[in-house]
Amino acid sequence: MRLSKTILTLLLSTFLLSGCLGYETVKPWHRDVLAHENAQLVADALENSTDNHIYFSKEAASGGDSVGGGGCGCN
Amino acid sequence: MQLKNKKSVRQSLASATASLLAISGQANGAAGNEIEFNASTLYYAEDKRVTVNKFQNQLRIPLREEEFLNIDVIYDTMTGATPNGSFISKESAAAFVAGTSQSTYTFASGFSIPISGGGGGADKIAVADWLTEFEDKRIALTTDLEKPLTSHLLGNYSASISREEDYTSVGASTQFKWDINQRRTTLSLGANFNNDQIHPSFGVYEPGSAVRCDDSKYFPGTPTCGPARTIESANKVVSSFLAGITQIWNRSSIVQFNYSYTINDGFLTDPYKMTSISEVVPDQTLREKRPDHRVAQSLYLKVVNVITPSQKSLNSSARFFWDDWGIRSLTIDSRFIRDLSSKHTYQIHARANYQTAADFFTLNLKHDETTQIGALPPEFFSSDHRIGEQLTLTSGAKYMYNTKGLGKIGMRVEYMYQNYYENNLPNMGVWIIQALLNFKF
Repeated sequence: MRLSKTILTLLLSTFLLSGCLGYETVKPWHRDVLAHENAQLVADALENSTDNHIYFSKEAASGGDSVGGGGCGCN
Repeated sequence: MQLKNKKSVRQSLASATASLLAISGQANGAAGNEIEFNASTLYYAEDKRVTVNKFQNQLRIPLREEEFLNIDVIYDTMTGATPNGSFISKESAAAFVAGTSQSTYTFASGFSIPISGGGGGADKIAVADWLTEFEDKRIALTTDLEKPLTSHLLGNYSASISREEDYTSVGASTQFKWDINQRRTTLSLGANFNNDQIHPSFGVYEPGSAVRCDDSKYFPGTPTCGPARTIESANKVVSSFLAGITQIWNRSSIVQFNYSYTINDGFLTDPYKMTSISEVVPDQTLREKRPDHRVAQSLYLKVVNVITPSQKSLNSSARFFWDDWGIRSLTIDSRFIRDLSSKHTYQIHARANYQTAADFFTLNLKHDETTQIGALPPEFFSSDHRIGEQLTLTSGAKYMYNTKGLGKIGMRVEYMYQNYYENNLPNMGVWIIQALLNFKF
């Protein structure tokens, strides 16, 4: 359980430090960095769909990131 | 020098145009007039339990400017053994881990859990005292239309159908994304409805009834088993609603926040799960019984951060989930993506999910060892480990190669590990191997 808590803490720290500090008003012509493929909210739609299905079938919680989902007898 | 400046302006304009399209809520960032094709083959292997082979194809077809039709086709084959809920002794769990339980276990006479399967629907029986063997296939089709309604409002309409040997699901959803604040902010509102039908080959037994007819005598007042207590199929309806806001936080960060509300109504019991009356006689069981109503809510926060000047990004999310069954869950997910060059991209993924048990989760029911009579069961009970306390950890890596001509090809390898608490069920490791193909034409 101690290892689990450590992993959770590390992941949470990574999340909190991942750059949401420093708000600035971004003009449309300053969004070149965010236009990059790797910067999309869903970087890989197919991978995301696969993962959602796996976790839906193995865990009690699901959804949150988008509307839709479900549709299998696995849970 | 002059040429360099001209190129730079052109690139900036192209980037700005692409960014306007990309930020306004497109699911996978594809823009332009190209058809995008994604394909994957997935191999999912639980340690000594379930194996799944999954084939998935996605097609994204531009219809008009900023209007896309998405088609998603999935074919799954599933085979193996899954915990059925009956009580697991420490000895049985140890035998399973040692790899000896399936060859040494002897069934009590008449003990079988029929479960629909392939090959003409032949019934399967339990292969260990707490495992049930099964096989199934699944085919699913989802179509999705993204259509701009105004210059700042995007509509998304989706229909889906999924069919297994024993389960059919039909769904429809709609979502609207409204760009405001010079497209720095996107407001989202969506709804999804699913009508699912559960139709095992042996029918749906009354929840709470005895698995073996003889076992009903141990539970005075509980329903008996048999055809009179069976219906052909059962339904459930799932209605989900989502409200969200996406904000460009600064030149290198996007933040998304969602609230979702889901109502499940109908037959929410798993027809294949059961609960033992005691640790002493684990093969005397009742079919599990869950409430026919469940309301779940979640808060979801995602941050995408690009680390400049190199093309690295960190995509992290946190979700807190709660429902009126008493389940609480926290999920943290993080993906680090880096372009090593225009040809090579890799990704590191880590995920953790912790959940508490449902209020009615129990390992076994009450039982009098002297009289061999069980107490009247509670109103609801389930021993399904998926609604028990557990921690799931996943980590893995993905590599994609851009071939220029064909598109991108790559592979993802991940390992998932589930820890079960307050349960003798052996922890489970899972290998997830996925080959991926992406190209545009």
